[in-house]
Amino acid sequence: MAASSREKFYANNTLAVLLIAMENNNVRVETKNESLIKGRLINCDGFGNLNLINATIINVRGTKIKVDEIYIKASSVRYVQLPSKINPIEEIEKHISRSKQRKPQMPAKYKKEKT
Amino acid sequence: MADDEDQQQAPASQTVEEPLDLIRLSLDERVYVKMRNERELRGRLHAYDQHLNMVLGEVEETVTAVEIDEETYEEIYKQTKRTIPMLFVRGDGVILVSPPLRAGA
Repeated sequence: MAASSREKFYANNTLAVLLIAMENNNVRVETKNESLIKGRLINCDGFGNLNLINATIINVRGTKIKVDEIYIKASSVRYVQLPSKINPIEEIEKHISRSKQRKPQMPAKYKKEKT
Repeated sequence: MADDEDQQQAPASQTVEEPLDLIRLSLDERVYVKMRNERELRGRLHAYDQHLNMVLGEVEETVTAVEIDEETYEEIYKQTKRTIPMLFVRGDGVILVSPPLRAGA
């Protein structure tokens, strides 16, 4: 997935953060061309591009196709149906605290005092 | 979003300064969303961002289609509804966001 500074910005400052927090969950993606893709969300980037595995694609005509992996461009997404039991705000906060733990924190003495 | 813990958390401004702030007033309330392709959503607004990507809970989607009768040429409006417990909506499909329309308002 892209790791440009623009992508990092989007990954932290838009609702893509919720999709990233939903990695490893089963989701249903409805695309703009009226396809439904059910699968496990493996990866999401700051732009909202999605990687699903073990996916079933149901197109407009009703044809079902099973694929091991599918990459969905963000611009083709209309909806992403999330697991019903999740609380979106909690998931975002959990994800942010997980990322903070991984990232080394600046020692307090180097932090500038806010004037 | 990912603020440093040590920095003082400035209280979130409650004044309405820009159009997006109007949506902030509807957070956690039921909203009506008009979307492209004759779609409408009614649900509880959990989250939104500057692109108008939104997360809606307990949402009912209404799709309106027009059929034209071959003989009488009259327009028949058909609505298809369905309910989704938790939905992420991509902002580029959103036309407007509003408090739910009340009958007789």
